[in-house]
Amino acid sequence: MDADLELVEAVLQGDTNRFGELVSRHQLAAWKLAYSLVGNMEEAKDLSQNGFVKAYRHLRGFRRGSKFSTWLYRIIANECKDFLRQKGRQPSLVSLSSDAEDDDSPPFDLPDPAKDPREAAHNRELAKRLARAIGRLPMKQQMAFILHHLNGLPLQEVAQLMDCRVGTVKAHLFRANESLRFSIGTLLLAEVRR
Amino acid sequence: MMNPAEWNIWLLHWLKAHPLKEPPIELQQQYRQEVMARIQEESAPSRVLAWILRPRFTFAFGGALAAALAVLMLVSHSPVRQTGQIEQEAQVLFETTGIASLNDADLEEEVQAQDRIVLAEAVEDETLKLWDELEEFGAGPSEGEPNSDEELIKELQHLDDEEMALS
Repeated sequence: MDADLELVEAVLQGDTNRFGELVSRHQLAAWKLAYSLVGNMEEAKDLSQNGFVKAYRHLRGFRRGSKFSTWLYRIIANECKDFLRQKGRQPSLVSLSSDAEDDDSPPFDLPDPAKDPREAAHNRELAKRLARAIGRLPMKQQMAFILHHLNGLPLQEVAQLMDCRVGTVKAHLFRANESLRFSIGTLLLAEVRR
Repeated sequence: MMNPAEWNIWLLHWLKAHPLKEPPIELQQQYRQEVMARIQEESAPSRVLAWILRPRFTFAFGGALAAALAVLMLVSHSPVRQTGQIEQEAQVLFETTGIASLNDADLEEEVQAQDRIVLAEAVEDETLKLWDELEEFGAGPSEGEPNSDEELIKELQHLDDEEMALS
């Protein structure tokens, strides 16, 4: 039996503490998913934790045939959507919150600038442009790109989360790639040819 | 413009080298505890809800509380307690007035003495009233009666002394 399913069964039998193991297994991915949608670490933490608590509350409704992670990510994605709707915001890698810790900090993990300052500055600038370009994508393209390319979810899972077919996800990803290629590709080509 | 194939290769390579930022490790360690704390809090039955869902227990507790209050009120107004309070207050009163002992015999004697004073004063008042009445009707002195005011008062005083001697 799948490890997640074993833990789910144990919790449903009354061993609440086993739910902590489910949290440990999925907390990083859950946090990163929320972060990729709202662009703020603290908000992402609260929203992903809300998702876990809701998952616990509705654990009896979890269908054994599906993956626990997919079910959990769907709950968290809905939490993020509701949150953004209340705030009047679109999903964005770049936080639009006025109290963001560092508005200039790109959401990607960048190398230590001390090692190669010139390369670090270049990567930083590229990361910022890429994040803004992703944020300007139409919502469904943005969602498909974030779930597949930034969160590493397979196409099947992305389709389940977005409640659409795999072919639709592929179409969203193709259009997203094309938009980004026009935004960033020109810049990259110029640098490559320099 | 980069062609689509070049772009896809570059993009996938760059995203693999620069994944999304992860939260600080210290926050990750607290994460699980925070979630479980929230779950434990939700799992514990609400105290208010418990009261609502257990009416028998609620009513029993309320009844016991009401009974306790009633007993408390009764005890605070009981005759036994009032008697005790009276004795206490009387003790304080006797101490402040200088009377040494407090017993029924002494108390009776004291009351009787007070009564005599009151009676004596009352007789004097009545006497004075009678005197006013006599003055009003202008009755003159008759045989065997005192001729002057001073003689009348002396006569009345003599009568008082006789009465007191008899009692």
